[in-house]
Amino acid sequence: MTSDAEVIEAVLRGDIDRYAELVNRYQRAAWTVAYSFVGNAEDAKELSQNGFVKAYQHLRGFRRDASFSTWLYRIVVNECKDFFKRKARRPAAVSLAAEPDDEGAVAFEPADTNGSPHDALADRELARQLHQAIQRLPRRQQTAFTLHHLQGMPVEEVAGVMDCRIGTVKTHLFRACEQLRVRLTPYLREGIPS
Amino acid sequence: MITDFLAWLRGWLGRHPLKTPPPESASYTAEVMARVRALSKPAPAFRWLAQPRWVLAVGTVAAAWALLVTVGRSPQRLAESVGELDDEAWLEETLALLHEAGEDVEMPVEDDAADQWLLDLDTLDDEDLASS
Repeated sequence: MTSDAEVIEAVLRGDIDRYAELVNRYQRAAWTVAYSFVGNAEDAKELSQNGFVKAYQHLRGFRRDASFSTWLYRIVVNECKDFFKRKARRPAAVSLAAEPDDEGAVAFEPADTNGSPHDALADRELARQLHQAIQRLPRRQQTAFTLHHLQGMPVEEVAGVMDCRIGTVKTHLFRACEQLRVRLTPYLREGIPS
Repeated sequence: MITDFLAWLRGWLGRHPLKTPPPESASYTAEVMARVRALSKPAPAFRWLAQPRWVLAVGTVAAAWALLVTVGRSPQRLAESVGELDDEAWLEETLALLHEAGEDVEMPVEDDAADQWLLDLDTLDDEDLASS
């Protein structure tokens, strides 16, 4: 497989069609990053596509020694932030149009369990509460938590996406977990493990 | 306490992974590439004219220019424009106007009288303009 750097070189030389290789390579990850923020498939698709187009527009300014994926995710995260800003400025009646998928439920797959319907309902409710709690986190904490815990990015890469130090990411992660623990306590039947 | 919660959360997220995008890879890429190719094409000439702000600005300037041209056609402005003509043309034009008005002026023969004759002509011209 051709490296990202080689594809970028080819695109910058004028072979625009080769940009499709990068889109194919990272579309799933970019979509998932956007989806973990907005929880809506259509919005996630549009925002991640915007990220690819903006990355193309600024490709000449991309530092070749950096990781293209980290840079792309940073652009997608910024698109999501702008999306929330625009949404916050809209009247409430209009902002309702872009609710999360599945009856406002969750960005998570249901658990594969053989439990009772009651268990499944409780599980679904917990998933919804977790999703909402994540969305209510301060933006920097939300970004760190989403990229690290939901996307599985190493802390170092999260620091690259957020353009901050590793220690700062760890602080955001700690505070985010603390807030989630407090918010989720009422929804855990067996209580939060102590 | 927080480490226990974190362990529980990681376990829970392991059982409930994030939803994955719908399988529409080809159309996703095609849509992005269509936008990328559109960016790569040179912008059409006078595309800026399509912007409402520019159309308004151009319209305002055109209206202002038309206004200046129309208002500028006052008798005073016409007299000034006559003054901009070279002496010979001005003389011919003035004589023609005077002839039309039935106020012919005799052209003096001696050169020393030329200044006085021109002064008379200026006075006559001013009076004519003032009365119009």
